[in-house]
Amino acid sequence: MKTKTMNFWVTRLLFLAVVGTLVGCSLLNKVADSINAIEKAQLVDKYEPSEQYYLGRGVSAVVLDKYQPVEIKDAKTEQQIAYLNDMAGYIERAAQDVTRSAMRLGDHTDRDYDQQQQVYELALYRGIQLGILDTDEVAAHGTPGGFLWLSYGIIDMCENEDELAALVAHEMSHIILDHGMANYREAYKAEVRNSTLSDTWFSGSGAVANFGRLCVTYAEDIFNGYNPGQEFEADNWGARALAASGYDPNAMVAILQRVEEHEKAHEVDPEEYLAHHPPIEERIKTVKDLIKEENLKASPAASKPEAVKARNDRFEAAFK
Amino acid sequence: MQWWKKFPWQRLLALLVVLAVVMAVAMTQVRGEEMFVKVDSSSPEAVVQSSTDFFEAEPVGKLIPNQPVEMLDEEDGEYVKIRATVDGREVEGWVKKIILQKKPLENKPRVTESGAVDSASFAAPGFSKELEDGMRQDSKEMALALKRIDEFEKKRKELMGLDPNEEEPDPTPMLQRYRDFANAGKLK
Repeated sequence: MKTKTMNFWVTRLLFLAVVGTLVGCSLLNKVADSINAIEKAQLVDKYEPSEQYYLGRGVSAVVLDKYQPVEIKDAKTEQQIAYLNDMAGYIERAAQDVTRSAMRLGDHTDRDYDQQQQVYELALYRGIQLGILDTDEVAAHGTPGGFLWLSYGIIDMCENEDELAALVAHEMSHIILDHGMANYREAYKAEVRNSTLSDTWFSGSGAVANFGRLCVTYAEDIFNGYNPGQEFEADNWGARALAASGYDPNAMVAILQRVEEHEKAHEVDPEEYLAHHPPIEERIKTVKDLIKEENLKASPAASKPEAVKARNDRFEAAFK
Repeated sequence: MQWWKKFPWQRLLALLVVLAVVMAVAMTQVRGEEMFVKVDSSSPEAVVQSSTDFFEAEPVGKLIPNQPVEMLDEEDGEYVKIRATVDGREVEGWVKKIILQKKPLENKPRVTESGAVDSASFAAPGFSKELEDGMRQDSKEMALALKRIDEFEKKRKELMGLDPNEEEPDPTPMLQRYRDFANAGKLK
């Protein structure tokens, strides 16, 4: 009887040990595979939202090495940051039904099925976070994970809140539509690349150095801007998002016209952000056509003079 | 002859089997698909809303990464109705479908159905805080720049009405700020 009971428990323990070992090995393999991919400097196609967030922090760090961020130290800068983040957060919520389908966005991009799935499944781990770069240079940089950096130079081009909302919606769409990551994947399909800056910052090897190189070289790529198809798509999504959130979609045309004025008034440095954008006249025409075809409009309440004044008063209080 | 010898046990058994199958099918129909949360609890998207109308919705609970939720058979635009356990109580409400996925996240601890975090299941592969800490040690330029990001994120939390000292603060106040912003600008 005693031997029978012992056999019973020994069998159970052996069974549990086998199952435990199998589960443990499978978990360890998964961890090892993932770390190996970074150690071997291989790009993983699909990052989880929290990974995109940490990649975004690393890329943002490189952006903030190039440009000083605004020091949020007084009532004015606090007001500016709160105002911009309220605006971006509101537009992102209000534009929930604005399609992410390439077909409906004017078919400007050429995504394959997997790329389109990346867009459909993209969720921001901690939402949109908008900061200001303390420079007169015209610059706007979005990173994976929801960080968006606008320079004083680009904000100063806006004459009212609706134009600023158009700028925010356009730049936010580069993040929401996965433009940066799509370019990086396309250009460096197999491996994390090296560059002078990335080698200076991270001379070693292994997972940490390769993650660092990925952050640095990704930032170098976004300094070069997006491709023309992506800019058209961002104008398109931005105009729709403006209408969905009550703003006048014609503000997208207005901000593009400000860019046109800026380009005429200044010789655009080939290294500058705007130098990589498609011809501005073509963008203006495309957005005008879209507004007409889709009958995009501001909400009736938002079009009333007192509503326009309320928005412009707070815009001027923050930025003028 | 005793009655139990005449009783049609086989028929009763067959009936019970049929009933069990019917009930199992019915239960599957009633119980929605299990999905897992893929955003942080500090994201505004992690708040379960009473409706899909942004201006009218009330917060009914807050989800955490990897929390299993039951996706119910109701959709409205990008929103889907879910059932989940939040702070020990069952809640139903709406979230964006995009924050849910079929498999749990691999680099976050699993969460039980009751909403408890199972820290032992934490695998931590991929890009993570641990890898970022390694970058800080490897590169003084990166360490300095990441410090700026830390300062920015902390200040932003404070300005948006969140607890700046919490790593994952409750995002609910931000949703009210967005509504106030829209109302003050008469955008509705």
